[in-house]
Amino acid sequence: MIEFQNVTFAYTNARPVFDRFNWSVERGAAWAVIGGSGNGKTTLLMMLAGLRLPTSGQIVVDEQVIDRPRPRTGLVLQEYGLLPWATIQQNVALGLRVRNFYGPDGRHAPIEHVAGPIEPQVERWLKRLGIDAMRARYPAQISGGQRQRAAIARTLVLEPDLLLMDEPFAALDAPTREDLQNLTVELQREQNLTLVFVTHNLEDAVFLGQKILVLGQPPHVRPVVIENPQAGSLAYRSESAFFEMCARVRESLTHYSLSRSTPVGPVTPHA
Amino acid sequence: MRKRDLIITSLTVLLIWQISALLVQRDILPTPLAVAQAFVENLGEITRHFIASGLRVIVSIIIAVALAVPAGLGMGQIPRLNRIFSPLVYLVYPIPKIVFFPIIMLFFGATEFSKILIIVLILFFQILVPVRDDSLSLRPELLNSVKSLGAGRRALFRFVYVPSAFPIVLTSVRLSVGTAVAVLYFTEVTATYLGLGYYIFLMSGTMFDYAATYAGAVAMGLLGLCLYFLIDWLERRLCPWKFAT
Repeated sequence: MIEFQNVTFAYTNARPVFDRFNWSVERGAAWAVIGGSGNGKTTLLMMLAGLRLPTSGQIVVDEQVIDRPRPRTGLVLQEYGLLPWATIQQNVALGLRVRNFYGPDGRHAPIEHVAGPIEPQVERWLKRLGIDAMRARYPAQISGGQRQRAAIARTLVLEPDLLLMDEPFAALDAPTREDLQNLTVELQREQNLTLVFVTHNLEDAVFLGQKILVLGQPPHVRPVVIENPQAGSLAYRSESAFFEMCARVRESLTHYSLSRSTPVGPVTPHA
Repeated sequence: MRKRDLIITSLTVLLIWQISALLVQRDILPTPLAVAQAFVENLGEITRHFIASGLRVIVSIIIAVALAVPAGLGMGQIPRLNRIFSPLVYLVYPIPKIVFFPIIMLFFGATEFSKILIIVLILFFQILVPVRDDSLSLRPELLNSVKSLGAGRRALFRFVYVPSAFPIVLTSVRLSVGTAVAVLYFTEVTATYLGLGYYIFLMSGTMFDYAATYAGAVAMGLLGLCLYFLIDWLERRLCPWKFAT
């Protein structure tokens, strides 16, 4: 589904964040990307979303080289993603309105997009995410958790096959965060989504990522991957294996943040 | 702001005026009652001038908004445009454009066009600069998430830049109303026979009818106030999200 092929990315006059980096994600997989701030998590996601281009190398999603946002990739950000002047209903409808605005051109909307009435689909997703009672409110009038539900609904109404999330729950309190983690797991299964979830939060990463990409100190040359096959079960959160995995990810994160030596111990490099 | 507070303030101002007029006892400061009487007596005449002035200032504001908003959004969103025009705006912004009025009159004569042109010229920069700065400050998160929904530049203008500019356009127009009416007065004092500025000037300098002079001034104040109310109404229509609680 996703192939990073010799991807190098460097900001102007800075050393590269990614240096001939290769990484692949299979269709339907749930990946978490964890790392400290400034370690290139968001850069990775922005490249994947087509909002930032690699300095060299290429990223292929579904056999297509990414040089602009791809219509079937959905993106959910931490905050400020909703239009403050539009109601929740209008925000959820936005992607479909943009598609109808351009028509099925294959660039802004998928070729098979049929311009048509928006309301039924918007209504279905408002209900699915439990925010249909908020449809006439503005983003500033609802809670952070509800805002993120609206952001997710707005993305899923476009029927993506790849969902990218950048710290989507960072601003939420613990119960709301767990609630939305569960919802993400459910939706990923239900919609058969490929998920790349970027976070600095250990629990987010271990609960959601069946594979966890650890981004330590840049530059990133080889992906450091931790297999976490139990992720995605709602009971996992209270099992001891969960806490052991959290400890392991933390250890790996510390290790790679302090040194740039080759991986050792329990960590297996991913080809 | 509550209606009751507005009424109390208005009555207080009238009371102070009344007391001052009684204390001063000169015909250049008539009482509010005398002015009200003059206002009613000359209502037909004042209305004629009021409509002329009102049309001038509204047409000027509409033209200024129609020119300044696209220019401001363009400069805010297209870095190359901003690089080219920002130095020009920087240089021209602080120049008091009113000094060009005599020159404009030399070119275009004592016409409606000259009057509207000078008001547009002044308002243009007062709207352009805040709209540009506001659109520069749109959060990248917001733009990125809308881009990820498939929006290119045209859709961003339609769904993000234009609606995001409503509040700042209305705020800058509100701040410009006072200036616009002041400039309007200045343009109407010379070379015209229609407009509240002309009426006020005529009544004071030529006719020595001080009550009517004040009535004209009151009409000019009402014009500014009407524009304020119009902008408030537009804001409630165009930016309902700012009033949602």
